[in-house]
Amino acid sequence: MPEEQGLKNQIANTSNRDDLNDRRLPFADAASIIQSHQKDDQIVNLLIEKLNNFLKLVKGQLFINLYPREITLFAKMLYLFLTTIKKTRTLGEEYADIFIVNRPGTGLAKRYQRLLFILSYCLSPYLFTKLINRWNSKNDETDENGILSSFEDLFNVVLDIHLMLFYFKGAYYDIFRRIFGLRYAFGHKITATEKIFRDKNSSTYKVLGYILLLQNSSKLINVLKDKLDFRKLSIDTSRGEKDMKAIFGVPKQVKTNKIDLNDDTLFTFIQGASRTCILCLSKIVDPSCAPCGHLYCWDCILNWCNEKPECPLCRQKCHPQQILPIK
Amino acid sequence: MESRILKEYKDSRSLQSQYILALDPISTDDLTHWECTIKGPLHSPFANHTFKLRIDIPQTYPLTTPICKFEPFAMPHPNVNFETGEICLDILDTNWSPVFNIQYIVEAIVWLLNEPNFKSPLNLDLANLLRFDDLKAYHDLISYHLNNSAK
Repeated sequence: MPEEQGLKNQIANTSNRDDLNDRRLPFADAASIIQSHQKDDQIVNLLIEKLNNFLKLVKGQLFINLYPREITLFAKMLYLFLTTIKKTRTLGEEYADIFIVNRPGTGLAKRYQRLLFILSYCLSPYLFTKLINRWNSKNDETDENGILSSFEDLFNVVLDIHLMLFYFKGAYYDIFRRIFGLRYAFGHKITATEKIFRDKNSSTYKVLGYILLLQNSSKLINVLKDKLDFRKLSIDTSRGEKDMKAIFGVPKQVKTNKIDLNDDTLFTFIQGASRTCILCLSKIVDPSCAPCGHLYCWDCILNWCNEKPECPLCRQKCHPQQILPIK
Repeated sequence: MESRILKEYKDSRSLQSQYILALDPISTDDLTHWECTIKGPLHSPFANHTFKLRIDIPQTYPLTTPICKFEPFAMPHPNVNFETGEICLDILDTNWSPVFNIQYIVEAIVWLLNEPNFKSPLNLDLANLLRFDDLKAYHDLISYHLNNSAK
């Protein structure tokens, strides 16, 4: 690509001169990097679709259904090998007029850097999930809250922090780009008006960064809180842990008001045999209504629906959270 | 649960049924174990015979099903295990609903004597005879067992 060659020359020339800072092309901002990534994603998806169509003809639908992740991986690598490795720009990079430079911004990134980046960028998420799946299938329930999930959490936190840094600084969108030092620079000089416009844009990305920071810190506070609570309740065994995952908010017993239909003055609109709960065969206490309209005691129907979520009389679906106490 | 069984006990005192000859707790001190005598329905191979049922009511009743069994080696029926007396009936298993009571269960069992279901057999010999519509052999095998156990 001649354009690329020109850029290279420009960079090479500038490095020979003294007024290097003046001639050096500016680093790209967050907006253009994201723009280029979105464009690239679009094109990779197009590539995946084409590849799927091709494989469907050659290998059949079953193959596509069996190896969707592998096909995606292949398409991604194909795309990056045809562009980044050849030191040409991807379509997204061309669209946003940015190109890959090395860490200090003095020259284009080396080919081995690009190769390492592509390999780690494409393969590591794939291998990571594979590893987790294998691990999970091996120790089914023995190590549910063990090292692996905490490792996964840590990984997510690192990724979040990295994204936050990107929103603030606008340097490396991808963590592997940071590791291998592939920065983006604009392919053109920035005029004063464009600079004002771009600065404005990057400030909106800073807002995103703050939101992310807020989100993560609240998460962290929750985790710490849980840890503290857990220490208090350390007598509780794994049984307690399982209970924590159960649905909350459906009280086992209504503590406030007991409405006992033994009192004939209450709820006169419920008449005759309807005042008796068919489950306990007594007059209804705390009349409660299933979605189908059948009336029971709150405790009776709730206990049954925890056993089996259906109305005892008509077998219509009735989840505990659907029971309405009549007040 | 206690009060419900007590109510069912009171109701069972005034029970009048063609096929339920007796439905009583074994001891009035403990209402969780019942014994029931039923008559074989007319026009079924079990007519003119009486059968004893044992009903054990779990602590979790009515959320879980009572356990009902015939006496061992007394009931030749496709849906009853001949050796243990165990009964295969949907409402005693997955289709249980807490609105059913003890009397209803016994009535369902009487109905089962009239309407055997060879698709969920506990007595394979009888179920197969029924499946292949060999009604004579089916009736003969049942009366053979019934007369044998009478002796």
